[in-house]
Amino acid sequence: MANLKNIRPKALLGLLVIVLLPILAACSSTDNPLTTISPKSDVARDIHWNYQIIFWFAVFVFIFVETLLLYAVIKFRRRPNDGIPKQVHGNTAMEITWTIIPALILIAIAIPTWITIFEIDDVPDDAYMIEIVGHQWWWEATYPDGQVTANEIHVPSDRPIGFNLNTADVLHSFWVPQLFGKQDIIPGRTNTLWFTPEVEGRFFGQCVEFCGISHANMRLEMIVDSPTVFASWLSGIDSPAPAAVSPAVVAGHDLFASKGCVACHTISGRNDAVGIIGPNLSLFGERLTLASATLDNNTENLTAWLKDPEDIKPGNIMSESAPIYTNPDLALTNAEIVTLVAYLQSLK
Amino acid sequence: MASAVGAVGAAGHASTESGVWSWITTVDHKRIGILYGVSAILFFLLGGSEAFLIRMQLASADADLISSGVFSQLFTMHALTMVFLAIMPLGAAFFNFLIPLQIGARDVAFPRLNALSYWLFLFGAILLNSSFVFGGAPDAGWFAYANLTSSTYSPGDSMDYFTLGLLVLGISSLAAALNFVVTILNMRAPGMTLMRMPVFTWMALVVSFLLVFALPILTVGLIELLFWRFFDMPFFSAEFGGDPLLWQHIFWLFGHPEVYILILPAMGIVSEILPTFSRKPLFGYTAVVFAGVSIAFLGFAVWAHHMFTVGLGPVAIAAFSASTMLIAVPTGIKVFNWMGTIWGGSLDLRTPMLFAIGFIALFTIGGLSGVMHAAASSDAQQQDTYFIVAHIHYVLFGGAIVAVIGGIYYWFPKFSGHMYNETVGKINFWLMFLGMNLTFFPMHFLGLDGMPRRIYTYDANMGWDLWNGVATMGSLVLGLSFLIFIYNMVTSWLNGEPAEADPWDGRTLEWSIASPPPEYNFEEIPIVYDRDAWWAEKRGKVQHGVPVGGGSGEEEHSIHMPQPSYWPIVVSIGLIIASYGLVYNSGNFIVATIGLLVGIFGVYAWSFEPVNDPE
Repeated sequence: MANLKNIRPKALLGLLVIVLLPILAACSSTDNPLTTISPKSDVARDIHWNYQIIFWFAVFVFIFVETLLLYAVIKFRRRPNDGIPKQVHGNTAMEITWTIIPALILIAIAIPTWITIFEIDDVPDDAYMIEIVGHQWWWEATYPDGQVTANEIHVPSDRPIGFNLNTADVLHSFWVPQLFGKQDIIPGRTNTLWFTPEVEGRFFGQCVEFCGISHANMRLEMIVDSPTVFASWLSGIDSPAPAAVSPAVVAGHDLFASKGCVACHTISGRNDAVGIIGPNLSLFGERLTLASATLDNNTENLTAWLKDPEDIKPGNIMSESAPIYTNPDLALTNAEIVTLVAYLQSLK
Repeated sequence: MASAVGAVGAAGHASTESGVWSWITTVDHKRIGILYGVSAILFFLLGGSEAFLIRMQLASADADLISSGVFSQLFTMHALTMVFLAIMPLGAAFFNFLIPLQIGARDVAFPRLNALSYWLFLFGAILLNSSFVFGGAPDAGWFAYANLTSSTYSPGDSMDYFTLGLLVLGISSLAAALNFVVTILNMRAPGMTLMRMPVFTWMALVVSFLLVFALPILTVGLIELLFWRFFDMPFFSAEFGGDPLLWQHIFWLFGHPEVYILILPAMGIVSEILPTFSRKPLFGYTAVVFAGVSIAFLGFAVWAHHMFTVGLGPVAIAAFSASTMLIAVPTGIKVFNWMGTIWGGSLDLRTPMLFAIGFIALFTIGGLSGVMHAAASSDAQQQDTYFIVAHIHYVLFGGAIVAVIGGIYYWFPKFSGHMYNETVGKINFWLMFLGMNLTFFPMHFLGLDGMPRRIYTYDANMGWDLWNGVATMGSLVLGLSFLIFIYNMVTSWLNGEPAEADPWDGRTLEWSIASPPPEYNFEEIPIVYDRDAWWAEKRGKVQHGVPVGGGSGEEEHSIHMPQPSYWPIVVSIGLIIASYGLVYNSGNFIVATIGLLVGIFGVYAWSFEPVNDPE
């Protein structure tokens, strides 16, 4: 500590502030898929307004307290000829000051917080309501007219969007940070959420309540479409799957039934595929991601997924109970996987 | 364990007798304190290793070092170990060693109950950790939210280990808390009024009351969980009319006071170190004491801030936002009073003082992020992200652990009779300070970038690589600093310079007796005339009174001390047999019953144990 003796405390403090602030400001990026500081909806913007007020108060108090502490430590460090310092036991005026000033700061924080809490609470009456069901480990979405999809949730950009949140098994939490703050999903009750989109685009989301060993792989995408694109996507779910065009697709179509996939998956237009245990696969070929938004939807990833889903999403119900994964005699051959991939990719 | 105990027995001179048996049957509060401390540090190493594995897995995207199942066990056991097996028992170690010394007593009120608390803690800890070997440790998070903990979603024994382990640890803590409450209220030296009590002892009293009120709540929840899993009583099962949120309310009604159970001893330690090395009395003693008491009271009124996103409704959320923010007021009072203590002082920047100042700097950061989370609407973006992980580690590592390590350095001469190595101590501090900030500060950025807690893997395009890499590097520095700490403790205990009774020019009574203290602590019970009793006596500020002897009518040289007893360990063994019997019950409860009978027999034998009374 000897070399510190020649440093002037005030210079050191100035240096600290100058170095620290830009570092702090540059450390979080608004480009990250799950960024919490780049709101793209009214609700997310309200939350961000609340956050910023508190953040700057916190930065101010942080700099004040740490500066004071550093100053005191340097200024009052023991010197060789120090005697016993004055024995001060307290000071009532100061006690009152440092009780009241923090209390005032807290009131300044509490008021915008209360405003925001009530502002974002009620789902507007005109909201477009989508039913969300959390499963271990994927998301199911049901639209007002009965269309069902999974993990890639399209919404129209021209009106408030509301969600009723339920779970098929354990607790989950629904979160697309650029659009809304998280809301837990609790068995036995229906929680709600809402937001009004501000821009079109893809927004990433993830389950944020620990829900078992593949909690990390329970992701989703919310896609804000223009009203016309959304309408045609929605009606596409209702229209039957296209007629088989290639031998591979035909073979995959048949395997989807003979290998038992139909027991758990629904594909609109197929009377034999009406299972509801697994994700609805209607329009699967149009999806950008697969396995609950953990992988890009391309031939390579889809092949890997069908080959060994356990490797990609440990503990998932398909690899633990579907006969093709539990009974070696029924396992998919590489040729079969090729045809299944072709079939699934044809679902557009 | 036996060898560690033996090593301590050989090195320590706390008591006249040595050997393993004397440690097993000891009821001496100083020896029990050392047992608590050594065990807790070993468990801290275990919990730290678990954290290090977690950091290795998260160091980069798509890592494949640890499977998701093992990862879930690691983060669950890391939290349980650090909370219940490291920080709480470290607090208990300080309470045990220091309370009688600070209040001028010869032991705690119930010495054998004290031994029981220790053995139950040790066996409960071993029970909980043995699950790693017997088929898998608890893996539903330390908060164990229903209904992931049901026998449907957590088949196997892991959650039974959780339930029974925490029940046993709860008995241990509850017994210890009652013991300390009675000791502090009844056994203070003449003249030591409550408002003359050292602040550390005050905080110990507050924590003990917190434990007495908070632990039964957890016990109720654990028993319900146990009955749900064993007998299908659906307390937390929505489909049969139960409510998973009931568990959350119960858990956090215990869990939030628990946070203050972990941090208030640290605040007490810092309130002792700062005055000594500033050579000034604590600034605003009364304010610091009452701030501690009000933090404890408010601690029972804020639990739902852990549940801001479960859908409580805006009125409840707004109310809990406000009550949580209120806690910042007494916390701020403490910070500013510590600042007032060093202001105008003559600061001796030795290792304990560095840790105490580091505590203020780091705890302030944790406190500020805490206020940020109190704003419920803003918290909707931070809940269950790494921002919260950063927050709790600034509070529990930057706060509790940093203060506790400072406290170990501060009282090391007193409990070991040796001086620690000052240079190594300072290296220890600076490495720990650096490592702590490198590990945990980047987690704020990760949280703002949306990284959820408890994920074992993440995608490369998430943009989380950089700060995760930095955090993992930081954890290496942190680990190194802790090894240096262990090195300093062990070598100093074995070869350190002999310590004087009062190496720091201390202010409280423990510095008035030899280092290490004799088994009976005070040859004559002191009379207290001032808040800083020993400082005032040294400076001749008080009229010196006649110390009182060991008891009415006793000879000066026959100090009545409690006898060693092995019944506490017998009772503990009985309860552990019962716990294993419950985990592995296959419809019948024969083993559990046998264990319980051993325990009951132990309690009886304990009650009728002949008292070696001099009369």
